[in-house]
Amino acid sequence: MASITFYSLGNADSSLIEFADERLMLIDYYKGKEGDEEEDKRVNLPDELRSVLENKDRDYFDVVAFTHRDSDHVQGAEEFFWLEHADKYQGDDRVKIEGMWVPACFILEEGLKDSARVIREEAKHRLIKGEGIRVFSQPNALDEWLNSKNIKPKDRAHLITSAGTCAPEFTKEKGEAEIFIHAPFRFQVDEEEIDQNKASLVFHITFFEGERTSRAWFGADTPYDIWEKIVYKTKAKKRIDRLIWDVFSISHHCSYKALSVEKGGNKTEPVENVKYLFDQGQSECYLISSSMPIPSEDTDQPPHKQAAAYYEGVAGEKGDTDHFLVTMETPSIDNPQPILIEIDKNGLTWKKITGIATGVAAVVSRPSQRQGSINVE
Amino acid sequence: MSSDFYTFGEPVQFKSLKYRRTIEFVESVNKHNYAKLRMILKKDGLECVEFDVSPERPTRPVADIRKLERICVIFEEDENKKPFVLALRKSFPATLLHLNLGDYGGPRSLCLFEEDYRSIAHTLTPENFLLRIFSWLSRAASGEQHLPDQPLEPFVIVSEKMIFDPVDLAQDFRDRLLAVVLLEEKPNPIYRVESIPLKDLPKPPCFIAVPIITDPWHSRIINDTPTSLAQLDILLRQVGVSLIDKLQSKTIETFGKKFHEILMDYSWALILILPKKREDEAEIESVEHFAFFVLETIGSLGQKLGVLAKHNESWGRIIGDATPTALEGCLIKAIRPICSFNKNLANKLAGLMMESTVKITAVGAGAIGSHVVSNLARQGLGRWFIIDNDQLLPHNHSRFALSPHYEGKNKAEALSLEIATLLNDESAAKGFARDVFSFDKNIQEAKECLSDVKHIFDFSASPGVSSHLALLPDRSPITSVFLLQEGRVLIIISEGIQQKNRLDDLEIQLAVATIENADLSGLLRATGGPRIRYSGACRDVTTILPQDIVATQAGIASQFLKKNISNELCSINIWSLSEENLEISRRSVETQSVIVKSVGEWEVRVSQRTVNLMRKYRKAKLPNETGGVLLGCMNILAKIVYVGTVLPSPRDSEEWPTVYIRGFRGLRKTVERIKAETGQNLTYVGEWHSHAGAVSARPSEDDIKAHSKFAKEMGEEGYPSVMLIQGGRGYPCVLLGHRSQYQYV
Repeated sequence: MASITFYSLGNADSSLIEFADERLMLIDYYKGKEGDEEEDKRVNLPDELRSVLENKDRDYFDVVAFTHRDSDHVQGAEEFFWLEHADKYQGDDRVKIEGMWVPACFILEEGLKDSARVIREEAKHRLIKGEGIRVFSQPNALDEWLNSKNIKPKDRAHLITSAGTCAPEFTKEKGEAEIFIHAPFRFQVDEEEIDQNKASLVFHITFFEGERTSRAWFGADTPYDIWEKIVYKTKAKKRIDRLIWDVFSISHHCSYKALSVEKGGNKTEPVENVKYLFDQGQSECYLISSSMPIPSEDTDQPPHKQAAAYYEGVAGEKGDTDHFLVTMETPSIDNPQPILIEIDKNGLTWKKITGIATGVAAVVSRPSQRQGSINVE
Repeated sequence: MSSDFYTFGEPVQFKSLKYRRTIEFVESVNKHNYAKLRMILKKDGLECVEFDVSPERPTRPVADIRKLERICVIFEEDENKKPFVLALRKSFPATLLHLNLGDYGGPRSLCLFEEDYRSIAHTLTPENFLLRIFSWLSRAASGEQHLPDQPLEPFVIVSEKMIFDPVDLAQDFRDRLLAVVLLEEKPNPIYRVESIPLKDLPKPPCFIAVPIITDPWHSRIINDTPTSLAQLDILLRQVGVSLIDKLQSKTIETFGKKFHEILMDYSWALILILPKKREDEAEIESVEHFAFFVLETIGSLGQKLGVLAKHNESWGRIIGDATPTALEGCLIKAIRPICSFNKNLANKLAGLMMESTVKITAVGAGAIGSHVVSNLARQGLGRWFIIDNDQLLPHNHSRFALSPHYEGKNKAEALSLEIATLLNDESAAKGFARDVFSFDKNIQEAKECLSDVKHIFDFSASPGVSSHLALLPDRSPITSVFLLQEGRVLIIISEGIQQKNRLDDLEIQLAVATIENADLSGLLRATGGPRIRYSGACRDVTTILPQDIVATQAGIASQFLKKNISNELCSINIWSLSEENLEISRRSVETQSVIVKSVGEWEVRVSQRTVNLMRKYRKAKLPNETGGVLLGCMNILAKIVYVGTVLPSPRDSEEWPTVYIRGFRGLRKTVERIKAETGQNLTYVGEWHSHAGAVSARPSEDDIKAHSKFAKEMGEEGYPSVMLIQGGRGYPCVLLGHRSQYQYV
């Protein structure tokens, strides 16, 4: 059995996949809540992840994928992970990364700051070292960068995976899953000015359970024009099975820009190929928006109510409008909790209650709030 | 217009509800994220809560569980009676596992409790009860209701019992008949199959057995109980039996016998012999038996089957094709056959020590109880009140103190009768065929049995019973006697005549001792040993517990009770029987006083050990503050939180002179390990921390804020949260939060 957990982090992403062979893959990292502010309903991701690892007697993830370098996908990672490139990022409490996944542009981009800069340095260190890394797409610029480090690109070819192929770490026999890489495309990284959202890591996972399969999309902050290209190319290659899905991690925190150039009045109408993609949802499929609650008014920033209306419509057409889930609304706006979806021979099951630590289990899985005699006479 | 759903009762307003359980359950439904209250109803003194629930349902569900299921929970006033849970959708699948039987064609009743409801009622919050319903539906949707190693479900489930020997069913008794005779009628009828010469047949109504062997059966289903021959015929066609053909030929065969005229006034008892498989291709795993009494005479049924006719008070056979009629109206009654006990009971009790008229009440006349009482009574000790509502069944013979002569009788009454017979004294023992919970309703009996006796011996081994007894007002001192670890460990907890320490507090102290003393480690851990089924019903299981071990431990127990019945002080004693060399060792647990604080409606009972440990940890960490979590248990019904001990600060905690943030590294595993080690007797009940220096133990703003957060999280499962703050001197400040109420003393 496999599972996917979507964490409630506001307009930010982090999802954890546990594969059938118990390997753990974290997709993006955003530290979330800090401090004890009651109004801040986001989870504290480091605490959540440490609790997961502790229950599994582990101090590492098998894979940590950073889909792109925006702060809502990497912030605080340098405080949480054991990073090999500098001593100051190493300590007993830090969590190790067996395999780091990044799109090529993450390594190539200059001028990064804060968490993104540190993670880029770690990725570079690992690529130079030749282990513990997988880079997605092989633009010319990456070859040039490797040459500049006196490394022959062919000596690192085994660490680089191009769009249109599967990541070699997972197969039907190894992990009972295939991870098919749809993007980034090579040409996007070689463009003079890199648009991070357009050069993000986008992949599609097929989970095998005996003869049955279930499929999931992870699309980072990918805009509609890249989705169009992904669908166009996949259809052209007659790989429709790589478009079908049972759970879709909605792009860009429910922004209309992931669907179309036009926001629409009440509902965003997706461009043709994007609509085709959402038509591939299977019966009772799930659409997960990693975002703040859906507003009732029109807003500039995501989540956009128009996009939400479209996604909710897709969920309804496929069997259940309640399967459009917003991380900061589930189960309630007052008390959002991680969304756990289990995948087994019966398909997908949203573990509404039984998968979530409540009561005693919740209290003893997290640090307490601040207590103590301050202000007491 | 017919509805897709059943309804139950008449709608009423929330404010008209009278039962605490109903009110709290409605509140838990209202705050549940995946349940929605539809209405509240009443019927015949019952209070009903109708709501929709959205279970965890896979995209490819195994059973027809819908996105929304409509459920009705029915509460009675008596809190010891389990609530009924009905699935109101008319198309709700009948073939799911763990359904109780309802009326034929009525709403499906979910079977939520493997254990006796009364033994868990004191720990069951309305939130947990709702979670059980939610989980039941979720497991049904994903096909996880039944584990592979569980026995197959029975063909049908019924409550009335019939004791029989399977060997008899295969025999040809020639001039004898297999008759089904009534052993005991009340409170539940119990029958026995006996081979009887025709001349000795009891007068009608009496049943003549007809064994019917079916094809192997593999589906795991519980069907409705058929109530007519027509319904049973449909059911049996699934297993390759044409009941009508069988009965027609059996009637014709009987008609050909001598004295057939006499038999026409008797009725058939159809005994089904069902070989069962786990899957189509599998071997036969077990053979199940079921019986149905035909509530019509053989003659009358023969007419309906079209094979007999009556003319001028004489019976005649109809030749030619038989055409059955009106079988729908031919009623049957299902009963549950139980294989008879075939071994003789060897009663090796010892003793003849002293005679006494001291009054003693024994609660529970099970394995250990019946033996200890019997041991003591045979020594002439005591005038007994014996309370137990169980009836004696064949499987009890393996370790019950009485002979099969009492089969079918109430255990308490039988034991009393045995003692009275043994001592030739009717007043030597009095049996009460009821559970101890029902004594609340009869003040005179409660006084006689629970207040005016020298001692109450609790042999029930039921946390629910011991908790109930402990909290009774003005009662006699209790000594609790029970076996653990498949009988190898005997525990006796005695309050002593002075009653300075209460049984419920002493039980917590025992649990604490098992995690803090290496030589007691694992004592309370559930062994998970094999269980034996003695009939086809879900709950008809018993543990493996050899008579020789029961006898050994009962001998120790009766000797201890005899010696210590007048002991003034409390004690906790443990005897362990070594499997290797059969040595018996005894250890005792040091008992302590308890600090009792009332916080609002709740009572918090803190062991002295808890306070001592908090003081010790506080001192060790000065000038910083420190803390950790509290371990204990709760009685939800009585609104009591027991704090037995504390865990020190996790290593990732932050400790400052005026601030403490409790970490969590290793905490969840430790709490879960302790919970398992102590057989659920100790779990997390709250938090503690110290105030350093000369600061008082009064809660700070931060403390109150942190505590409200804990209480909110604990409240998700309906539990209160306790916080203890230990200052430099005196007892700790106690905070308790439950359902948005926060108070401290």
